[in-house]
Amino acid sequence: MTESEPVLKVVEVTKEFGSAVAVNKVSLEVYDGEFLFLIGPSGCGKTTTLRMIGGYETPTSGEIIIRDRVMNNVPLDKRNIGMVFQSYALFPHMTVQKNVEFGLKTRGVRKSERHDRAREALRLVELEKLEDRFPSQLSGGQRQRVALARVIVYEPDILLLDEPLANLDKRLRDVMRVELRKLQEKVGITTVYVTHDQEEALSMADRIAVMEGGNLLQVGTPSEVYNCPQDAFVATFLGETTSFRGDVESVTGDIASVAVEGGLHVITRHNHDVSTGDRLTISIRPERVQISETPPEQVDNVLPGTVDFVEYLGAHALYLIRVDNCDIMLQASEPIPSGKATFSKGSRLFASWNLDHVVYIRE
Amino acid sequence: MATAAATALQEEDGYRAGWFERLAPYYKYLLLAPMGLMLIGFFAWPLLWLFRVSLYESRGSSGFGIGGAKGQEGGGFYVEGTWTLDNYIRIFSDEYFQDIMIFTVEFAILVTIVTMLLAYPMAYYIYKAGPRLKVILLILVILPKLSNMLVLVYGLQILLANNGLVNELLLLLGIVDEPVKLVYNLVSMTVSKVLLIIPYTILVITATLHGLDPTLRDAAQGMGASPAETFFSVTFPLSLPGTFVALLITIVWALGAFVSPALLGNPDLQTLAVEVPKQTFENVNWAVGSAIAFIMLAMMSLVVLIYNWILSSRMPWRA
Amino acid sequence: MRPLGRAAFHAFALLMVIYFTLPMIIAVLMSFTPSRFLRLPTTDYSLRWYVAFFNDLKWMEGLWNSLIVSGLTIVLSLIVGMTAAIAFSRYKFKWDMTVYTLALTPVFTPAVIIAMALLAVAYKLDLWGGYLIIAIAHSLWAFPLVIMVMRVSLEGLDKSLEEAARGMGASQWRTFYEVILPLVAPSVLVSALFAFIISINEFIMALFLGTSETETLPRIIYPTLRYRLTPLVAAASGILMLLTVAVLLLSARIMNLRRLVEHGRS
Repeated sequence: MTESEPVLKVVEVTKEFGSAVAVNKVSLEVYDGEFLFLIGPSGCGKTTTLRMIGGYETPTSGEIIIRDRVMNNVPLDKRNIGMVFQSYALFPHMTVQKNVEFGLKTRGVRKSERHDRAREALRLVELEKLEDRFPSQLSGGQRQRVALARVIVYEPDILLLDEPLANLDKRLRDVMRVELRKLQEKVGITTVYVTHDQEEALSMADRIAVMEGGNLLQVGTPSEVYNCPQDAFVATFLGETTSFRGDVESVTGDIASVAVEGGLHVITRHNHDVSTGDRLTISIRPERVQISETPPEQVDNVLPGTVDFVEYLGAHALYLIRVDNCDIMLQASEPIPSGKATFSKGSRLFASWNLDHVVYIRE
Repeated sequence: MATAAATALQEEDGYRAGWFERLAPYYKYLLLAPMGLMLIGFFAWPLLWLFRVSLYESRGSSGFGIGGAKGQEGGGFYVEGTWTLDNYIRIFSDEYFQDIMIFTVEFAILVTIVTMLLAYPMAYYIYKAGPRLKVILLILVILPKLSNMLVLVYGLQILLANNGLVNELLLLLGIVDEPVKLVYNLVSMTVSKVLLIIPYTILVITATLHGLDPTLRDAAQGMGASPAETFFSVTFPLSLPGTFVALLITIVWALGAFVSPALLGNPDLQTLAVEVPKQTFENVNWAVGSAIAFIMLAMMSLVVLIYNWILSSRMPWRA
Repeated sequence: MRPLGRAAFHAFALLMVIYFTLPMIIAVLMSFTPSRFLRLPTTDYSLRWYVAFFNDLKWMEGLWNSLIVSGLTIVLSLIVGMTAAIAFSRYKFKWDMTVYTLALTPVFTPAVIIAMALLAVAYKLDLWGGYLIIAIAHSLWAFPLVIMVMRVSLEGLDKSLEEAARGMGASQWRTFYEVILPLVAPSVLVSALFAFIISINEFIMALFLGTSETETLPRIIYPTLRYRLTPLVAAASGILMLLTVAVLLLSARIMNLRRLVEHGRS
């Protein structure tokens, strides 16, 4: 990723539909060649944001700037942007070749050049033998690749993808995920990708922008947003997590002790930004929780409890643990190479975790 | 509750299907039976019978009144038990009928062209209109079809008369110096026939446009196509299948034109449809009447066949 | 589109709307003329031609015949159309699209052909001149519309409602008349109204298949348009319009037209 001038700047953009605010003062920068994910639950404003970048919606306020040019009033056909729709929107009456040539035709590219470039784009997505087919004669994955080739071919400034894998089945989706990422790297095109699938985002993104209720909550690399969420919603939306609320009762050096509900104490490392009396949300990922029959040594947080529910997930097991003497349900996951979960419903165990693995969010 | 459930279960054990349940595998045929009866008994069979009647010898003499009881010698509208091609030979060799046949086709082509030229833009206008205006326009478009065609003809007779509103307007605007003859000629025939057909044409095209995936338009513009380019490269070609259906309906109805030539035309501008009741009732010659009706049917079937051929061979992407 | 093109497009649409509505408006306006001749009323309006209509035995008989025929048409086309719609919406069978297309063909067959074909058959079956054969002819145009309306409505029903009713122990028949029928009742009514509008206005089939005893209102209007135009015809037209519009307003209330249009999109 080159840290030059951003290709795309979204500056305090707001979109209102009547009295409903779909996108609320969202600011975002996307750099050259970057693969940025916009992620959030349905109705969070991610698709509206994407459509505003593409020119399919006009912002109520704020600016969309592409390569230093304010785009708000530029009609979508003059923007040089490539959009891949969830339904692919392939023209059913044109062959694959004609579909791919379309964007070049509107740009007045000569016929012979058009032909060559379309072939090149189709070769890139490995569809060069199907150029005479109609979309109705293609499989889902092939249509998806035509939709990509069709916009890559005219070298848009930005590639916009709206849930491009949502219409594929699970197996194909996993294959296309890898292919899409490879293709993006090969072409080096700046890409904004909208999805509600956190797995997709974590595995493919350079950076992830998490949205909820029209607000942009956090932007960061996958590991940043996963490991250091700055918002309780971000923590719960990406991956599984258990959250508690509590008050800081004492601070010693870079270690704080937090009293959570039910008389429990959780010890966490902090960045010198908390003080006694602060209210925090504490969260802990299930895979960071260790479980054992006997109390472990040299671990900072240890809680005794009873297994309330076991969820068998093949590669690992997820336990729901009722912590003794309080009303807290803790999630813990255990890799099970043997294929059998160690504990069963009703088992007594100790759950523990390192103080470095606790995520805290100031309220 | 528990005992009731138990009883129900016991009944389940010794469950005997009633006659209604036992017919279950045949429900769909039973449900389709009334329609089948209607379609076969009062549509398909009459059309076949129409062909049979057209092969009877005609009575020849012009009848006095209605032609007497069935099977009675000297009465009837055709000679029973005969087989002949005379009626067709007569129609195809007689200059009078030849003229009518040619004019029927010419008139149908004229009406179809005018209808399509007006219907497509109107359908597109409705498609582009806001939701409220759209409903109002749709109601206004359907209205002529839901009202009596004689009321429309009556209104047009008044409107297009020499002292009618249209002529007054033309005089007022100074386009003409004296009233133009607009009624009882090709103008009034075309104006009325188009009005009688066009609501369906517009509805079919509007429905087609609404059935198009709007993201295709978005995609085209996103790839740099101007609104005009988008229309001509995406919207219009994709609306063609539905537009062809509209065209088909228009041609078929235009070929069957009856009211317009009968009430707003003149003796030189007559169609086959007008000739059917004329032969049947005025000349009491059912055989010739049937033959003409059958020729109309054949013309329409030919149009449908051509349409099917175009559909299967010219639009491979619809497969 | 450039502003000029846009203005031209609006003007075109306006002209089309005038084309669609003016003939009807003129015909109805004419019925209120106080004059003995065809002169559009300017200041004075009169109901004299309506009075004349209701005092004329022939016209009144025509109105009565029209109502009988359209009543029969409603019954016939509902029976035929609804049973078929149920079959199409609930059962998949071989050739179902072909059968459906065939079922719709009568609508696209010009009246003259249907009328001429039925004439010979009616003559053979001794049905000629009766109300029944006219109603049968009108039903050929009406029942396909009933199928279309009812099919949309039946297929829009939540399948689980029916399954739930059956699961709770209702027989197929009971499920139909206690769960499905009440839910599609508005569409049944709209279907009936369509059948009524078709029948009350149709005249070519009535012309071929009726006799002077079963003359419907449009059938009486037809020769008068050919030979002598009087404001009495306008009054008769006005009454036909009134019947149609009343029925239309009723159906517009029952079924939201916009919903019907938007259904086609999904």
